[in-house]
Amino acid sequence: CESYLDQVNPNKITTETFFQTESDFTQALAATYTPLRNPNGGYYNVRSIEIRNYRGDDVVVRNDTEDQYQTYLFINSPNNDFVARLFEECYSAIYRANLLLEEIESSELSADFVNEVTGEALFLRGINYFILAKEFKDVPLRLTASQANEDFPLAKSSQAEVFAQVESDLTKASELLPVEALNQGRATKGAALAYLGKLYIYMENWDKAISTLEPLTKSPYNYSLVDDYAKNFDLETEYNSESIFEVTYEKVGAATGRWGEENSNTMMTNPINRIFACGDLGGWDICNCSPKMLDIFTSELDKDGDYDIRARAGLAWNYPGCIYYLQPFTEGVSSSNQSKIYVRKYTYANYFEKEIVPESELNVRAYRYANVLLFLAEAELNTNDKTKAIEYLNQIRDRANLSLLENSSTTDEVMADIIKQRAIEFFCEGERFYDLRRWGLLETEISNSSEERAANFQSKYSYFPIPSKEIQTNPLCTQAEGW
Amino acid sequence: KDSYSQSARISLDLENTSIEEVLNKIEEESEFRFFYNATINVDKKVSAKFENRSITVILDEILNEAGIDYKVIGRQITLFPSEPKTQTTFQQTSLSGKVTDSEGVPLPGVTVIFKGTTNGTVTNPDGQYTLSSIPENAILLFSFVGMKTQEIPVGNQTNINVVMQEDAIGIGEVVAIGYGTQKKADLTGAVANMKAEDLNIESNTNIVRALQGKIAGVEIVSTGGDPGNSSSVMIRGVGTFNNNTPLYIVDGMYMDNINFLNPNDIESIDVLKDASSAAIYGSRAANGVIIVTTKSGSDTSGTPTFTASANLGFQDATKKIDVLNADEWINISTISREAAGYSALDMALNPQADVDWQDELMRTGLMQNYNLSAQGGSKNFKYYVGGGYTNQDGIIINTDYERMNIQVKTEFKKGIVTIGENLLVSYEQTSPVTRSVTRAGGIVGAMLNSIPTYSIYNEDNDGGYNGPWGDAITWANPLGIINLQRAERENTKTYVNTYMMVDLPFNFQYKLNVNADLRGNYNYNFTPHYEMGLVSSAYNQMTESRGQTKNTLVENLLTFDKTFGDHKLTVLGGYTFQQSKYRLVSAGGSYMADGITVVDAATETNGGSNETVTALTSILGRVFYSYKNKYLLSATIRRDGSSKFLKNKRYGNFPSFSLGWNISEENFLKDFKPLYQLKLRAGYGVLGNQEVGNYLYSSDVTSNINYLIDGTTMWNGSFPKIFASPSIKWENTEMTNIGLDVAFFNNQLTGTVEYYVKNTTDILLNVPIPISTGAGNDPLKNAGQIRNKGLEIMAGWNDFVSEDLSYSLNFVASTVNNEVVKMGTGDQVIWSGTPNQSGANTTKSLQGYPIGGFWLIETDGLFQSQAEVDAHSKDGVLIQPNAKPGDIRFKDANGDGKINDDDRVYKGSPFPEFTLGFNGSVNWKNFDLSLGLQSSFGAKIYNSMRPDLEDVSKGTNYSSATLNAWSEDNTNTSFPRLIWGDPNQNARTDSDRFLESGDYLRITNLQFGYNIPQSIVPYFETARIYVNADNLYTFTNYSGFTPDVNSSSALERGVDRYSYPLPRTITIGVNVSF
Repeated sequence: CESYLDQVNPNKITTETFFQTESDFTQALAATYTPLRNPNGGYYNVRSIEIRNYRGDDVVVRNDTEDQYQTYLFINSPNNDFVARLFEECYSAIYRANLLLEEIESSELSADFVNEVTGEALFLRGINYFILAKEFKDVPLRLTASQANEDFPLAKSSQAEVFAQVESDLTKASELLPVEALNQGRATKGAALAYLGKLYIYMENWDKAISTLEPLTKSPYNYSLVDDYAKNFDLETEYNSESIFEVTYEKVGAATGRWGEENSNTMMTNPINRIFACGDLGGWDICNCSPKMLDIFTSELDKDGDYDIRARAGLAWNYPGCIYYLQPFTEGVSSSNQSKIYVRKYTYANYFEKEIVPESELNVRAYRYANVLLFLAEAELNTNDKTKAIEYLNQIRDRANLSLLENSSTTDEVMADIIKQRAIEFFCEGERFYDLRRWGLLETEISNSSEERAANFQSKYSYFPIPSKEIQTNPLCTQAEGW
Repeated sequence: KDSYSQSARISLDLENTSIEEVLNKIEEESEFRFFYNATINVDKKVSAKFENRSITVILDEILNEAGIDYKVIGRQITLFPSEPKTQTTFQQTSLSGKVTDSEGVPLPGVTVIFKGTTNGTVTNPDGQYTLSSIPENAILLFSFVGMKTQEIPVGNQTNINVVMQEDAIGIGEVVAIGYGTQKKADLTGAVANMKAEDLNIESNTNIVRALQGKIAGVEIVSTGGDPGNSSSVMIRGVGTFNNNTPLYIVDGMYMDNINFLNPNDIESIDVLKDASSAAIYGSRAANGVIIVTTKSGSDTSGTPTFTASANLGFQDATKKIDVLNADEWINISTISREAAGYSALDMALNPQADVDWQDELMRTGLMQNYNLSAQGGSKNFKYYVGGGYTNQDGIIINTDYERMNIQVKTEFKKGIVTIGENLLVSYEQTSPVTRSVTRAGGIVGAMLNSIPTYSIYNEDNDGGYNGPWGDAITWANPLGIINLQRAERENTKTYVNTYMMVDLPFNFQYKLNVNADLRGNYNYNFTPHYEMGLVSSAYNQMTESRGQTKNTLVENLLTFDKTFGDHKLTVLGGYTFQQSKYRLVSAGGSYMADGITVVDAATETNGGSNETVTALTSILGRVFYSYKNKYLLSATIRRDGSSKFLKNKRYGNFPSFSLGWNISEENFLKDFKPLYQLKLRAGYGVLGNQEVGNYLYSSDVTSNINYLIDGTTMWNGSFPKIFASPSIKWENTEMTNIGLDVAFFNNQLTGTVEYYVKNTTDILLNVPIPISTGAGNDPLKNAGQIRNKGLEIMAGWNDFVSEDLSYSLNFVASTVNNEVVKMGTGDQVIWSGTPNQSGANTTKSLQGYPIGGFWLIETDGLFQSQAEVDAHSKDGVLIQPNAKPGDIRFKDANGDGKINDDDRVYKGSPFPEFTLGFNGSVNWKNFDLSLGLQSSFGAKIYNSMRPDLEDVSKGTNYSSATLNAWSEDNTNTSFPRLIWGDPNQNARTDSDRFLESGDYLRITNLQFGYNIPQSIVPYFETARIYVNADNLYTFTNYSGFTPDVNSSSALERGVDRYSYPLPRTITIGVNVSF
């Protein structure tokens, strides 16, 4: 009866037959991208978009989902579930990238294919380590995929060491990746350089930032700002000329699995839209724009005397002529909510009368060309080329129909405008908190945003703590300073 | 003595035959020769059907009635006329007879003495006795272990046949021990036996609850009062981090649970507590074995016995959780908001209503039970047919449970072959409370947390219900959700067992058992479109799934059972094969038109299926030997092979042995009359546990890790992402058990004391590994070691004061000491027990402490002044910089000047230090009264409803405890100040603020019955009416719904989440038999 006891899993194939063909590697590569979009921790899906934005001074958050709210109030602990999931998704992508790199290296597939896979795997490992160092500062640096117990304990590497690895991965990736994406949504040479440039900005290595980002402004790259700012958040204009790296969402998959992760019923959508939409209009009303941020938005009118297009496209509030969900703001929004400033980005406010579709199909523009221009402006300014800085900055102002900055502006004035333009341009796109941190403005700006948050804020909240489980299971990994 | 006459066995099958022919037949079949003269009338027609019976048994039966007596001398048998029975003055010189049990089986070894003397004899292996020198006015005493002692005046009788009745407590009764039965007197292991009549099945739709508080060492705790919900059973502590469910054997078949059973069909329940008795079930018995034996037919000479019963019950909640009404909530929430500089919530400024959500959702539930059965048979055919129907409404609206059962059991016997079958069909339908309310905590959570100031209904909203608004937590309107969403579960079960037994020569018996257990589960959930403020559903959506399990079991068993004089030997050998196949099909759909609830009508659909197959092959053996009923020895072995492990880890051997010494049978105690029984038992055995997932050892590739590209294109992803567990093997449990049974005064007073040590090693542990490894799962390792030690006491007292009055008292007590001896690498810990919503873990399992012990930051009262806040500092730095007067002072246990995870200390165990049970009954004339109590002391409970209800920094309703919050005018309190945002984190989940004592004493059952005399209802043999109260009252300081909480995971069993309140049930009913 021995044979009866030889049961094989009827639901899955075994590893022995995997990593053989090009198709196997292509599938493994897809699986290495997937953590970016997993709803509960993926960096470009709802939960991480929330916690990336909630720590800034530009939003106010309603106390509904504790874990995210804690990050807003600066009372989050190492037990925060969504922070742990963000950590987990990054390392899950890194494990896959590491194994993929090991397997592709020992494969006997064509050199072109090997380069293609290697480039994308390095890109993904690079950006995931960049995310980790950006969010957690010092983290364990694993460059091999191992299921062996003895390899599990690993001490943290410093942020500088992790950045060095990101630099190496993205540099190699940029050498291997094609200029034209094999498919829209996959990594390109331009994307690798864009992230590498951002890394240099974070490292304040201005020269390298310029040399890395500047090529993106010219041939062979075709990046340009789209004429209408709103096109960056629209369904019809996905993968436009401004988009350098984009995560795709569409109702593909199963109707019931929008929170699903990594199974056949996963709905490939992003439930972020309801986070921002008004409660009267089918949303969850969890995150609004802060009054302080509205002041920044409205501090300069455009050349036609209107509110900045980026305020009108990015926000809905009670101003004359505000159309929100295809109706005047005051009609759709009940009187008790009319003092709130709603976020339009990520929502269907331009498409429906209510946020009736609970899952968003809007692609998340993970990296826009506008960011390259503003990074270049900042880098040029820091290398004392004010003229070039103003040139880049004016491209952003021009697209927003703002009057152009004079060349006579002082360095401080230019920097102040870069700070302001970044706040406005990337409102709720997960840039503000990190910008304030690297500019050393975090504590000041938090302290003038909310008394309660200011009371809670301590410098340790500049980074997330290492999640408890990592500390509890990895004896070599110590908790971050101050936690 | 002639051994031939005693050992010879004769089988006859003659009908309506003359005695002469019978005698001739016996002469043909045996070496006996008959001698009789013409005065003996041998023409009488008789029936003679015997199987392997001794000559005396046969002759007694066929000759006695014909007025013929006989005498056996060697192989010669002389017949002579019986003495006329009317002779009264004749002084008898000899007396004989036969002693049998209630089923007609001869009882050897029964003591027969003349009352007041020590003169007497014992019955021979055929149950027969002969006495000479009969004193005048003699009274015979018949006594036997486990049987009621009988006194019979001899008078003029020369032949007294006695049917011994089993004793009420019945240490002589037969218990199921797995693959067979054993007399209680012969037991060497720790087996607890409950007869159906000792269980209050009247009000328990679920049989497991009826066992609560009745067996020492068996802890039964509710997992909520959801109708149709089960209770969790732990036998002798928690021995693993994995599945702790005991092995259920129903009529020989492995079952996952016994919820589907109709309690009325149950004859008895045996619990194999120790390894020496459970080892016969090998790799699946580590959590103990519960053997359920259902009712069977019996020889009623063809006349059936009918029983019918009906009852009607009412269920209601024993407790409401005290939360705020509208005015109180407006006040408290506003104080809290204003303390942090915020204006009052809009829901406080513009209240619409004052809703008591508990009143809106809870109700008095109706419960009905109906049962019918027919039972009977003749010598060659026995049957039991039972049918039952149960319908129970939950105490939360739109929850209910319905069950239908049919059981048919028949057995046919012809010659040496017995063939029988057992068919059990059940259908269960449940509407559970399971609903999606957008937050963890379900309907019960929404019921308690919903703010009282919003009106329930809003006609303008799709669906008609209102919801919270403004800065409120989005707890969905619980009434709306439970009325709009649908959840249905169905379980169908068909269990078919066919068996054949063949009596072979030399006392061997072969049994072939073929079982098929088919189980179907159906789950259905439907959510329509609705709007309730912040909570809405945009479209109709549904999911449904159907799982089917096919369990097959084939057993081949050979037994040998023989008594050689003082030696009794039973040997069992067997081979069994089991296979379990499970397949699940699921589907979901969205955007169906209103009123249509099938996936075919959906515009978006999904589906899936998966399958598992497991197999287990086993060889098993058992030897039981007893010498003079004094010295008992039992040994078992089982070898299991399981498909759950890799080839080289697949087989496990599970041996056991145990010894028993009936000290009371020893000569030095035989004359000590008050002592009825004294038995010392000791045993040791090894058990296994393989209740882990399937295919864990295999390393495989997960598909459908998909990513989207080109706008709409699914890029199919696959990856070997699972960290496999190739080296896993059986969990191993070694248990040593010592027990002592005593009985005094003819079983009036009985007692059992057991002590055990249960060491579980190689526990399969999901050893958490660093997240940074990239593993999405924690692989299993054989890494843990847990020890449970315990003492169990059972005591009983029965007294028949008079014919009209009798009473009995039963008491059980047990302690379990649970300790993790080793875990993983030694310094490994496992955290668990997250509260409802989120927040820090509350339990930690680690070496040297109990599983799931509480590790929390200690609270140290409230700061009464700023000076106290300032004084709570380290090296001039405030330990709690955000604290203000009225906030909680947390102890900086490690003295590092910070309050964090490192300040957690051990704050208690979720295991009770001891549990007690008491059951008593009184019968007076036709009235009877019974009472059951159950209590538990020393366990701690983390009431995780309180972090939600006592945190006044969120838009939810709050506990009434907030009314006593600290303020400058109310400083003598333990409840901290009210402040939105909670800057001091008073409501942090990792402090001991929400840890409570779980001590309780519960009146589990109170029943009052009346047996209607036959003079009033002549058609019925028995007729009884009763009133029964179940879960009548619980004395406890615990603030949650019920203190006997149990989370399904061993790692966090003391964490009370929003469980369905356990109802009190009052039932009236009638039972009749005729």
